[in-house]
Amino acid sequence: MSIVRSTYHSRLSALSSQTRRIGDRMARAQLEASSGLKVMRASDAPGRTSYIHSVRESRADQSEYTSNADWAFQHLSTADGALGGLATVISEARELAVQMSSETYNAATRVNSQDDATALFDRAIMFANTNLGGRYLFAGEAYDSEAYDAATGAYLGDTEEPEVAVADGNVSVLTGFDGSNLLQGTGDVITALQNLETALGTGNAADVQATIDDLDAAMEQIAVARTVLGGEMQRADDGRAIAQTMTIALAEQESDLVDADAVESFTNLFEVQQAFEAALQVTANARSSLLFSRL
Amino acid sequence: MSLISSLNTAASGLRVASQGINVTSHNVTNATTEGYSRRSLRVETALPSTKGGFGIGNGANPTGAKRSADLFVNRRLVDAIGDESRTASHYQTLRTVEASFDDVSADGPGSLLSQFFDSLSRLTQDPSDGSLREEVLSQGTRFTEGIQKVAADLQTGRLSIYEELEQTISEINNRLAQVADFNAAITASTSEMGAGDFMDKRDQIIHELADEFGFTAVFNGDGSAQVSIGGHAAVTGAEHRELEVQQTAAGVAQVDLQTGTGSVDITSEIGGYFGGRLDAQTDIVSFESDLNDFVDTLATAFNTQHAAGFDQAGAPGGDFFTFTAGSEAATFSLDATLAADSSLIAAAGAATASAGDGANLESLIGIESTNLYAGGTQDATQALGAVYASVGRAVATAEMENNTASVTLDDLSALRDAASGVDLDQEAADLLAWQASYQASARVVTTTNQMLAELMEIVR
Repeated sequence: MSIVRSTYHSRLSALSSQTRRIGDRMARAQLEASSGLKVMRASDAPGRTSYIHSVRESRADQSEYTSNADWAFQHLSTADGALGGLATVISEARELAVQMSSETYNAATRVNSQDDATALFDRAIMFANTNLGGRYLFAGEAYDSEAYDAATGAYLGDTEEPEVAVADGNVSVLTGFDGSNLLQGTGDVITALQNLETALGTGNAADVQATIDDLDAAMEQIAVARTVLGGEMQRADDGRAIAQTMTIALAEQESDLVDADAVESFTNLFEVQQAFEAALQVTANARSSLLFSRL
Repeated sequence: MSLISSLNTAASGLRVASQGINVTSHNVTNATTEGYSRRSLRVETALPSTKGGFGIGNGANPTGAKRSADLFVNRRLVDAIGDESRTASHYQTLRTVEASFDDVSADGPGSLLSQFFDSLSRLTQDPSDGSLREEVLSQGTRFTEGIQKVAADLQTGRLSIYEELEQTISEINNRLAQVADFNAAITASTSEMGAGDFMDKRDQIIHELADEFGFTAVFNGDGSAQVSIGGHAAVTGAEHRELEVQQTAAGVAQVDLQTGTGSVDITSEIGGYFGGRLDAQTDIVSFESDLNDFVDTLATAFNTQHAAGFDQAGAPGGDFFTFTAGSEAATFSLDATLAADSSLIAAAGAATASAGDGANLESLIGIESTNLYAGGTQDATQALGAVYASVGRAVATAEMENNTASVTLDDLSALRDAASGVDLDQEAADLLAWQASYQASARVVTTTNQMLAELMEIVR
């Protein structure tokens, strides 16, 4: 067996190299323990880098979906409140129509009650022009101006409806509605009230009686509208719930990919520190192991 | 044999021991000198003289100081020094480049890309909202500036390699000249000790040339060394050739070695520290190309879709991003006109758009998740992630190669030290041995002197 000659210099050099390597490992372990991250750079996990980016991007998307869903829900809730107000107006209008179609009232009384019908019409327009933060909810995409002309009841809005994405796959929720469709479909809320106002102006009971069917259809229209709106609210709620669940799942996934296990990190740090201390001690001992120092 | 002869024999012992202590002293003094090879005193028995039919010994003569060296190990060590230096500088340069990509904070290009598209998503809530439009421009500016910063860092890293070469090349040429001068001195030297010292100094310079440029050396029988790079001789005997550096049109460094008839491009042959730097230069050019491709694809697709939409005045969308072909990432920015007027963002799908028309926005947002990259297999996030991954792979590979090269260098250094290094324990033992030898020879002189004195007393 041959023995390779070992010099004092080579022994110290070897110890120095080993100590440096352990020092590098200790620096790495300290960084991991203090930052809580095992992946700090792409080179820490090159094979996973692209996937980590995708996970982070998905998390950011979920955050936006949550924000969009919250935004949509606020607007849909406000719109639902407006529909509730319209339902009350139509209900009161129907009561007025039933009352004034009775022969117990004379023509003059009917004409006088036209003011009540006008007030109901004004209230209906007010609800139809509901806005949240200046955004008119029943004006379609033309939500920056009123949906209905207060004097004529004419629809001023757009037939296209604004929407926001609340989930992957182009899943969107409406944040505004085409009033000419939602409030003036099979049943026409605006026209029914205008017809009642006109009928009362004639003082004719039969004319007033004829508006009751329109008002019933208007009430049905509002019920349909609330169903549509409720569906959108449900989708917004579902979108938010999915986004929140996804956010948690993605956060866990990202954590698994990039976060260091605290116990493992500190155990590793302790071990490397011990090795470093030992290397320093060995180096110190080796320095004094010299024949010259004993001459 | 006469007593006088004995005195001469003892005196030769004193000379040998004295030279031995000199050599030991030289070794101890140079124990930590880089590149020094241990010397050992070469001693020969003096030729005997014949007197009265008897062959009488005449002591010993110091004939020189033998230099302990293993040429094979030395040659491999030169290669290992070059490899370690090359992989170390490659790794260190790429680590610096990697830091530019900033994969941790929210200011890295990956995060900024995401934030830009998120701002578009928020704009769908209200495409007419001026503040949301400004937010899109703000995030767009941050994103383009983030890409620009990475491109600028890559460019700086690439150009710094040329600048460093330009500043160092004259020093390299000086060292090549020094090796040639030492070759001449070694072949002309008549002293073994003196030639050995020249060799040590020359070999140290060769190690530095290997360390910095990856030069290799072949040691000839006459003591001279031929220094080469990629098969091209840079030093032969007392002659040397010079290096020149230039920057190509592509902005990369090129190193030429002068020949008798012109010059030869040795850039790809360079090893050592600058070989690593040039390896990094190749990687950086690749990263720049990947980043340029990413920007080109993204900006072109985005501009095309943007042109299909309409701004708040109902006019067709103009360019959203601008860039210059060939330096896409470095020149990536928002169109200046659009950057000054957020109403020019073509969010609407129709010319006569309502405030809430965000039809084109949906299409613009879709660009992020459309597989436009890598032959239609990657979306924007994956493509940018792939650029990061290629940087990460290059850094990880360079680190692994450097670790391997470091271990190899350590092993060969230990082998070189085993063959040529000064072991202080051994020198201490040698010192004691030479001291004892000197004392013994001195005792012989003293004893012989006493015998002569006693003989003189008899005569008197």
